[in-house]
Amino acid sequence: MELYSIKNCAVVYTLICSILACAITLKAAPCWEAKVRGAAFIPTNSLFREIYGSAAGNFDAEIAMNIGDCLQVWANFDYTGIDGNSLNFCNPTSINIFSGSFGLKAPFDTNDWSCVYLGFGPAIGGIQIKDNSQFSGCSNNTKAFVGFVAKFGVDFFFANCWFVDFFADYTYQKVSFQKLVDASGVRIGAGIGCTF
Amino acid sequence: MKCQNYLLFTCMILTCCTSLINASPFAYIASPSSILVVDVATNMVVNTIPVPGAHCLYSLALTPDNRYVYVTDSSATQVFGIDLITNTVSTVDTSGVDSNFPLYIAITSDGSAAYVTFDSEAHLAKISIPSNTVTPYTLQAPDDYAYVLAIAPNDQTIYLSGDDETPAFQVSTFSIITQEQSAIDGVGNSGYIPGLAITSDSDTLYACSYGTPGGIVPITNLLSIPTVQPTITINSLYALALSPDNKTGYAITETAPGILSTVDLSAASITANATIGDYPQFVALTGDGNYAYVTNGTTSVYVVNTKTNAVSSFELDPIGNGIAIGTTPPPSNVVGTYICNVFLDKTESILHITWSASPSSAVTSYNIYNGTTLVASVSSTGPLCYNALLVNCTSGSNFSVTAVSSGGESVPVSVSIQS
Repeated sequence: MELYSIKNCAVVYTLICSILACAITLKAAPCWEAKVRGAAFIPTNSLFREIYGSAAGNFDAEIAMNIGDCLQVWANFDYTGIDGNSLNFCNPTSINIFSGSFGLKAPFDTNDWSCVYLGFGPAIGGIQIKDNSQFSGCSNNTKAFVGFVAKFGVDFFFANCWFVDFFADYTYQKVSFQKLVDASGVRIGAGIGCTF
Repeated sequence: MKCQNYLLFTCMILTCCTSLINASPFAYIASPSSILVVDVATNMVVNTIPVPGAHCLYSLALTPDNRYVYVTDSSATQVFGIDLITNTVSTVDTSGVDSNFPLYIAITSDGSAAYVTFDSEAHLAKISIPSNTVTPYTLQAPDDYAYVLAIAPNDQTIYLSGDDETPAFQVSTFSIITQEQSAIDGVGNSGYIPGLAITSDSDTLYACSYGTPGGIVPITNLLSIPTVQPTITINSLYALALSPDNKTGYAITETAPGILSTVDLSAASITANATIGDYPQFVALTGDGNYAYVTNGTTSVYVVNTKTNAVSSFELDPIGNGIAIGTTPPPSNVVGTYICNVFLDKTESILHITWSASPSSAVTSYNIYNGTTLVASVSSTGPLCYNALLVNCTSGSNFSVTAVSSGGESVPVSVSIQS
């Protein structure tokens, strides 16, 4: 990860943390929600799709806290792991993407039992790529990245505090190995959560 | 006597050729009306190629790619070309040469032509390979005939020996480029020159001076001013074969029993003698220089281990005359294509090399070289391809492929890059 990216990330995070601190201070009794989700990660990069396929499993856990009538702060950790094969020689390769993100999202109630939300926040994480080349042998490289997440979803509430979340997130995550790796993509899935 | 000389001269020609090769799975022996193919790993005759119309085959030469054998027949006044892949025998039309009785034959290092000397008149003929087109040349020395010939590995000069009645032309040069002939003076004082052997750098010729005294006459500086050096005395010297490194000569003498002498050419001394059959006439070395094969116009072939000087023999049916030991035939259609092995985080440049099998069934594997470095060996029973990783933007043009058999390794064939 380049130095200037780390600095930018630190600035953004400091800003967000300040906002969160102010929000928490302003709201004495925050409402929390937590959810776990599964999704299909659909990479937007064509080379990524050729090597690892057009979709892969993604899992994440997220907590959020109301900091206003239509504002939440959230923190999310997600993982994507995919096996694939190199082009032309079909050598095994795998990629693991670990990402932590947090930011703000705005829920809008559509009726008594559902709401839609939009969110945005920075992400930081690591991309691990393991290649098993028949020519150069095994290699295992990990690089950190800074990106962002844009979130969209619909929550359907039931049984008072439980809800089902249908969502589509876009993640932007690029990092340079021997060449630039674009691991950006869309996560489309569902999860279950509760408020407390 | 002249008939024996023919055989001796043939031996010398073959010696020159075989000293340049690197491997030797098969020996090709001229028999009166056939070519005998001997596996030098087992010393067994593995094939007999009949030559229709032949009566006395004696001088034989092999193209560097082991594809063709050309052989002379003095009694039938014919030259035959044999395709070793198809075993097809072609009669070369030498009627345009104003002479009968082809004597000795040698093939250029590029395999494009064979040159033949003729008896009764001093004539030389070029036979284009494989078209068998004949181009005759008339040599100076009209009262005699040319004996043996040796072609410089640079394919620019043919060295010819005359006889003792024409001292100025005991050894002469014939330019392949200009077709001009000139003499090298001062070679030998008695007898004729029954054999010639030339080093792989084309710079030193060893002339075999027959007689008593006789011996090996080194002629150095062929590429500038030829200089005759002192004779290494070996009486009744018939023929000489050079080791692959050109440092050692293996000389046979026309004696009973015959002797194969190992000669340190730089020290001008004989280091070992091996007793072989009577009146040996032809000698050829395997490509690795480890064995000398000697024929003497009988059914016996003598094999001398040049390291231990041990002598063994095996039998032929019928007799064996001229002998040439071939290289392992190289693969053909060696082609390379660049292919990328694409990972998400890196891209490897791969040279995908394919080739067609060597025509020899004795080939067991193929070696792939990057420059002079052996990078892989591929079994002949598997797919004939190899993928080479190119690092640091190396070019694929440095790669080459050789065929390997029990007799050794073929000449390398460079990879032809396809876009």
